Amino acid sequence: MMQLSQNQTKRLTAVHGWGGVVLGLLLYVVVATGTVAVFGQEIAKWSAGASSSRGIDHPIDAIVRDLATKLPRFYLAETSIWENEAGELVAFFHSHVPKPETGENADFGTLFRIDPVSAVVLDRHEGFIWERPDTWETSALRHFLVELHVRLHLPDPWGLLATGILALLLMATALSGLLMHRHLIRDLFVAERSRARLVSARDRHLLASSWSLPFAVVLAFTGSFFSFASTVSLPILAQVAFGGDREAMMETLYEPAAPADDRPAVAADLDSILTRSTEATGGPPVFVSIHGFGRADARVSVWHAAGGGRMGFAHAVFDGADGRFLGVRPGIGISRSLGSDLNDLMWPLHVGDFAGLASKCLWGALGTTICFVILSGLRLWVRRREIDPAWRRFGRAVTTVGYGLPVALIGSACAAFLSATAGDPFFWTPVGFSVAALAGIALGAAVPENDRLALAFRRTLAWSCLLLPIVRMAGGGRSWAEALANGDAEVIAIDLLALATGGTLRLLVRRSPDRRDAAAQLPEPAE
Amino acid sequence: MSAAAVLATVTTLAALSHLAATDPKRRRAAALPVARKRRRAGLAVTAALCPGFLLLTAADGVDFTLWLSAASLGGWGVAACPPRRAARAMVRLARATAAPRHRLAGILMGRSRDEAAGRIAELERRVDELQADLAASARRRTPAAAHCTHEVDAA
Repeated sequence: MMQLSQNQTKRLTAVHGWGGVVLGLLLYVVVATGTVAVFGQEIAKWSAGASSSRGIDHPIDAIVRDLATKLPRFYLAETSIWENEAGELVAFFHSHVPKPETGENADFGTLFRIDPVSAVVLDRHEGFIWERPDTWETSALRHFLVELHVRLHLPDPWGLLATGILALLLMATALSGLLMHRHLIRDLFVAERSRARLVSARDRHLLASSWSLPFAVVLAFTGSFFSFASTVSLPILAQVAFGGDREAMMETLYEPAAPADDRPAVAADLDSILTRSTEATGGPPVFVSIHGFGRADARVSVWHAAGGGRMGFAHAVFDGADGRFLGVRPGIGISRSLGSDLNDLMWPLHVGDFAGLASKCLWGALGTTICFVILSGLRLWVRRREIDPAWRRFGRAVTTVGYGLPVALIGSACAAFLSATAGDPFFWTPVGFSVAALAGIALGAAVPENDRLALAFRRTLAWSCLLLPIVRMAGGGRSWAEALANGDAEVIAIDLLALATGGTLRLLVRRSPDRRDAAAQLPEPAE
Repeated sequence: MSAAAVLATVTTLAALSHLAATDPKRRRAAALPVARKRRRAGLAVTAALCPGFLLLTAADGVDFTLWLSAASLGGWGVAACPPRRAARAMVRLARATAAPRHRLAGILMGRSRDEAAGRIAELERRVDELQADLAASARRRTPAAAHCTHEVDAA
């Protein structure tokens, strides 16, 4: 590896260590929730009692056409169509209207939730729909998890900026760790040495971080890309290259607007468009966007999920009046380029949704590895400074957050289940998280000894996991028999995973020796 | 996950297992004796990386990404496994697969299965005899005698 002077190594160690200490716990929250959010679709099915592949697999033309005829033309400027996890067709007819509070343009219109088989409208909402997730989101639990991962529930743009900075921190710690570790290749197979020593903690951290290094870099890069794209990169690009004209920038970056022609025209058959689009791109259609429905200049964009050896989304464009296929567009730019190919890879590489459940499981496992690396690094840092009471308190904070976050997430899931039938899950899910998190913090403050605290948390986590499937069913969730009858293996798989995790933790708690004596350990050198 | 990606991952993990089992530093840290079988590090590293290269050139990016992530994860699992436990598991695996391996070796060498199995059984019996002789002679040697022998050897 790269030879560094002693001073350079010291500086890198300071960057690596202090970066982790200052923001490591927040980074752990973002990575852990991201790891769970990888299974967002499965969690939505599990928590909302829903059953659908999310692909638009029913004829939709007659339904959309019928709804469009009943709406004023103003709402037909943009139409978004997708299928949610409950198997309902969602159609949002909208236009861009300045918001009274900020004066900025936002989507304003009418959203329908429709049974795609009987074409019955199940629900209808009007207004600035994106501000009311209960109108379009199937699962309150999934929504809460994703918002926590993406924005830490902070208002825009601060949430995205915060998670972007945390992604950069992950990148900085990964690269500084790579430079600091002089024998990365030679130590690639050195397993943890005998337990309860400082060198064992170091071995654990080094081994996990060395093997997960490529994934950490990919995750950090793609994460910061998504966080900074809308908050920093695009506004700067609009200012520098387009004199602040965002419309012009969007036309250059994405799709140039068709020459305006607002004469009424019969809309092309959407079912035929979806069939041809699937033939042209492969992968199921997951989202349809129509610009100017019923106008002569209408454009239909169809997005397809990964499939046929392609990792990212495919975007096919059709003429909305005569149904002509206009081509497959890259995610960014007008024609395919290296930049557009890299841009198309960002999403699948970040969320792991490119080869079904196999890729998601791998991404989930790799995310768990990164969580382990963060926590083991923090514990190693504390272990080296255990003589200082302030660092011992920080060690307890690491234990509290490390175990407290999963407990709080289970608390949010329980609140979502119990409020599903009688309350508003979009209100109670964050409340459940907050209550469980506060209980965890109280436990952390009440138990002064770190090992006993970890034991207490393991016990709590074990029972939480074991009770989770019972709470789900008590809240009106699907039974295993119903899930099997509907072919929803996800419901049973997540229940079994919770039971297995709870059982394993119970076994670990039973086998763990009384560690009260371990607290008397003195600090020792790393080697 | 396609069959190609699964095969590539299994090949890579087998090569990584060999590298881990014969890694001198790992064995030293776990107070294990030096590995008896040859390490052939270059060959093993090639075997670990080749599947990825083949997937990248012959298959698509999906398979390559799956292989890379599974190899990272599996590599960590192989390396994190305690060396003594891993060594015991390897011995158990070798014993469990001895008969089919011998049969396969017989087929590959072009001899009849019975003949090959007979020859292998004869060799194993001979090895057992030699090991028993060695153990008996080691028991006969007192610590003092061993010390003297060591001094003689040193001289």
